[in-house]
Amino acid sequence: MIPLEHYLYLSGVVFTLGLCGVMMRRNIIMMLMGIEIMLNAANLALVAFNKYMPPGPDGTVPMDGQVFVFFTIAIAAAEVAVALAIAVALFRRLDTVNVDDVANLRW
Amino acid sequence: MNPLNIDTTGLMDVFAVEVQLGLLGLVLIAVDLITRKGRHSGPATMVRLICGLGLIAILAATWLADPVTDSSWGTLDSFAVFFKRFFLSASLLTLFLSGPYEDRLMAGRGEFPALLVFTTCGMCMLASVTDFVSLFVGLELVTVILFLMAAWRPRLPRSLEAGIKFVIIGALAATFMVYGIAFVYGTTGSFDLSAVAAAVNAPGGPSTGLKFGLLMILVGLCFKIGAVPFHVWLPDVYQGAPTPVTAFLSVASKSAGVVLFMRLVYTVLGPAAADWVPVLGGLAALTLIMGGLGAIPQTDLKRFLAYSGIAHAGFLLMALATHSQDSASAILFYTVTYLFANIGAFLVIVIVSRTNDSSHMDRVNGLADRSPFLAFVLTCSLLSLGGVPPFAGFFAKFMVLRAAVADPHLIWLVAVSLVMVVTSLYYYLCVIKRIYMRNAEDTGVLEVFGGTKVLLLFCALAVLAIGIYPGPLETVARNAASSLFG
Repeated sequence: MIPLEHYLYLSGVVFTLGLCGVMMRRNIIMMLMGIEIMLNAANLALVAFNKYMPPGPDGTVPMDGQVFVFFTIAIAAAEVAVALAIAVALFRRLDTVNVDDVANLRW
Repeated sequence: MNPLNIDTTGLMDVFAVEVQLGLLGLVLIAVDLITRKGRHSGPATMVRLICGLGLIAILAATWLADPVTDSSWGTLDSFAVFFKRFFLSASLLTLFLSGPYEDRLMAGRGEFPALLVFTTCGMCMLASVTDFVSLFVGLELVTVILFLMAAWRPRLPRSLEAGIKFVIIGALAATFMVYGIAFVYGTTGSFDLSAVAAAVNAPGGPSTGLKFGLLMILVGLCFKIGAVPFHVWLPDVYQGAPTPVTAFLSVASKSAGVVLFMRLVYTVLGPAAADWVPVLGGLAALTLIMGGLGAIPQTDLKRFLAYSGIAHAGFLLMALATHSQDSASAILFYTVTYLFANIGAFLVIVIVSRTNDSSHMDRVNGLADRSPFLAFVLTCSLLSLGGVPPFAGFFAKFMVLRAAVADPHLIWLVAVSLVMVVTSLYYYLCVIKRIYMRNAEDTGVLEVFGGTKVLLLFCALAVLAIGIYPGPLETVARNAASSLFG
């Protein structure tokens, strides 16, 4: 069986990749994809942790880690729906989805 | 094992306010659908009226509910009840505040109160959480709706910019939070706050994975309250978002972060919080300095209040680092005084920006000539934010400092904060100088009508009354804070 650490390393790598994507990309859609990748890294860690959880007194492993993943998936979908709605409105108004073009609020 | 054998004891008692708010939101959407024909057909008076009455009824009903502390779903201790009332009041004040702003919303006038109610529902939920699952769900309920509200004027580039920046930063903060929760779960085997607290305070100290998880959750919360170095989104979003949304963000959304911070620091970390004092104290010092210095060059009122809000977040973090029952009650006192001062200031901004939709500081030049009443309210609010006696902000700061002085490790932080209080007085007085000393560019007399006038007067008087007679609020804050230390 693959040890837990391998999952965690993978999850750490994926999380970092997503973070790099958010930091380096200038396209809003790509930044949102980076955020999705980071969320999936967290989901992977949750599922892996749950899989390797020692069984409780009655011999069964609670599934709450796996259930939590469903919550994060649903919430991420809601978040992206709102983000895309704003991105569409932005594109209609300013004809761009590049964050560098959307930087008028300065002092 | 029977997966459907779920113990729902106390579920409806703990989350009664949330259920009522959810129903109210649905009713508002239905009313909006029935009463309004077409998308641009005037103000949504009916929706706003029902929303206001509903919020008042729900707020009044919180005095009838009994405390519940034995449910596995959440807790309804006096701390949770205090914050539920706080969020309901903040939402009610924001609803009133959005009244004079409504004609600037081209569309979505009827949906605005409904979204306000839904996001308040999430905040009230956060006041009661005892596990990380409902914590995350409640937090996202709050933030996802606030993303939309920040971009509520889609014809206005600055509102869209605020929305998109808020979405990206907010979603990023949420991923940090989930990743942290994953590690906390992995190392403790439970999402329950009390189980995590036991693991944190176990002999031998928390494991590296648990510390990492808690640190990531801390990062997520720092985004929420706008602590340095996670504050960069705050001035842009505050400036770009519609003013009622900015007011709501600055009082309610920030306090939602404060609630979670208090639950985590006081109940989860518990005695182990001593190990976190350098982290929290360092963040507090940075936040105080950044907020204080950042506010000085500002020329936009909303952006200025954003930096002032960062400085206030620094004060709250300082109280969190202190970790005593005194500091917990100081935080509660602080949030209430901040609520009245900020709502008053933002309401004045709504009125002075009426003619050209700009919140540039020039708009308050000579305000004393144009409307002595508005000048008085804004002065009261700013002096309270600056911590000048006899206004409420003075006692709030005094309580935080009194609690911090008792901890010999935090003397340096107290020194930093005192320097920043003096700095902050400088920039608040700069604005007050504009009100009384400068000549107005726009000399028209500013009329303030019925309900708005009452609300302005209420905020100014609340700030004065709490400052002159802080006893009752202090007692309430102490009672609420004591339940955290059970």
